[in-house]
Amino acid sequence: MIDREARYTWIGRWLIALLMLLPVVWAVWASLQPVERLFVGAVFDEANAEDAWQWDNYREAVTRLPVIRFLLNSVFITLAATIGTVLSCAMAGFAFARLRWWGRPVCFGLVLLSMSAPVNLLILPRFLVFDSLEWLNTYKPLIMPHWLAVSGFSVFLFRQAFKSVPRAFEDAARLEGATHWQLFWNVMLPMVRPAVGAVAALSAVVHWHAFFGPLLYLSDYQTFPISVGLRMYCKMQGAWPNLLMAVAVLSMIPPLVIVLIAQRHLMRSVEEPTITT
Amino acid sequence: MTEPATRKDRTIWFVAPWLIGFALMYGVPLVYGCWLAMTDWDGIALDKAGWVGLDNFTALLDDSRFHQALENSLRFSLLNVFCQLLLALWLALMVRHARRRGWWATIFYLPHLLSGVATWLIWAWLLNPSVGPVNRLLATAIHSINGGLASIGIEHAIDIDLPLWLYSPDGARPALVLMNLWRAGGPMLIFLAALLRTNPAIEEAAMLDGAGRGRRFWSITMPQLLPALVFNVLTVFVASMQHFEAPYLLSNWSQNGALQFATLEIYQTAFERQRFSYALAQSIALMALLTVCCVGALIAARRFVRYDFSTELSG
Repeated sequence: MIDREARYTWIGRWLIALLMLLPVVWAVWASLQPVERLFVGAVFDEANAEDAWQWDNYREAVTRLPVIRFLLNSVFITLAATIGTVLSCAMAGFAFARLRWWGRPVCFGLVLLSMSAPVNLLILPRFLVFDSLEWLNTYKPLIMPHWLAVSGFSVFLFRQAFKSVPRAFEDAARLEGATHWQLFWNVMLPMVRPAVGAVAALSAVVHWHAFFGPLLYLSDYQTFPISVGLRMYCKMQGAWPNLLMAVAVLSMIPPLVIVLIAQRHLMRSVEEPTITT
Repeated sequence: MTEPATRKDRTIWFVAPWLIGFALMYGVPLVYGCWLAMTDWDGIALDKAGWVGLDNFTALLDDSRFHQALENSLRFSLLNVFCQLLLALWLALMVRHARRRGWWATIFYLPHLLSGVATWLIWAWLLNPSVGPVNRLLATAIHSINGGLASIGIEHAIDIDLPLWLYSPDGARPALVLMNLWRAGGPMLIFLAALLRTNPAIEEAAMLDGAGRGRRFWSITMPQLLPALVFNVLTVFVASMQHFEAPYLLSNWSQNGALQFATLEIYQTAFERQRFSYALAQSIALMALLTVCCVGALIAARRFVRYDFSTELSG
């Protein structure tokens, strides 16, 4: 009954979706144009359409600054931080969901608190800690915290996932004499694969986009990730928007791929609302 | 159930990473930060730093630069929370009954996952007042409307200046809000999750009793959405109050300081004016302020909102 009334919302959905995709479409288009085209003439000039598509823009864009280097740096940081996040947060989530230990309720309150911590304001005090550990100008501040389950959100997500695993699996494993680690690694972790997918995808995207941290912690431009590299690019050559757009498009490809791969895990709760508890 | 506590089978190995991480990334920075905020450290020579007690915090009270930055942040945040959540709620209501719900949710969530430095720079070009496509399309539209109206005898029907967006004091913050609208997919997911957990039977019963769409929305859907709304308002507000990337990348001289937000001010105090201790005091003061706001809002909301999380959060 309600479904029938809501049927006509599809027009709104298509309109908004097209509007939302336009900036990305424009960036791809602009990255393939000669630079003058972006300054004069119609926005979408059909008269000169056939001589357009300057693929050379991309070759030129990656040679002006070591963009490939920046991208590889980002890939390395993202991979290292994401693996750490999944492993350490899964372990913590398992401990909060399935093990009984002294101080657990208080610690879980701290997890919830850390989920709402103002991260951009904490960054200055954290800078001090990394400074006294002599971690500045290395990738340690960008990677090590994530091996220590610093993301309260991921811990929380894993805890919920582990809580929903039926008790019988745990009991069976315990009867076989499984240790905590065997229970975690061989029994529980394979059962929360959707949560692993969701946490991996979301944290990978967050690590890929990280900007404030790398901006403060790194000073040698050879070590910059693409986010800081892009900022360097736009400070260097404000007059070449087509090349800037080429680098921007390149930097958006990895998050796009991640989302497409993990789409099913990410939208699981939306597609099957009854399953999640 | 008995848990064999052999030496190799300690719970502590599972908790230790999180415990160390929490201490290292939340506990120690806060304590160390509070301590250093009571010195006059310049960020370089720690041995020359002297104890000044609460001087940095009392200095905050008549620091007009910082007050202006807080006001800028607050003005932006209020506008941003309102606009972004309105769009997010609308998107969630549209996706709710769609046939391919997951697909639509992904489409609307995608900009949120794509946004980073690259998309701020793309938006800055889209909104460029003289050569950006947005203003050029606006100019073309106005031109053709005026042309059409001129042929029936109305001259200069629309006679307005195009917005200067990021290149004017009045347009900069609205431009930033517009850019943030693009990321409404995040709060949309929260609304959508809450909507999908509402009981459709209640709404259908109301419909049989003859309640119209507006009545059903305000009296049935909205009360069930309130917890999600409170969550979204608080998280989007706190995130907006510490917005750094966009103002850092997009401020320019023609804005007359409209994008001089609190976090940007703190960054400049620390790294450009070399007053590290004072910047720490600013950070801590703002953190305290945000905490008080959130706790206050939660207490105030208790009167209107029914939370059914009690079983969730008991640990």
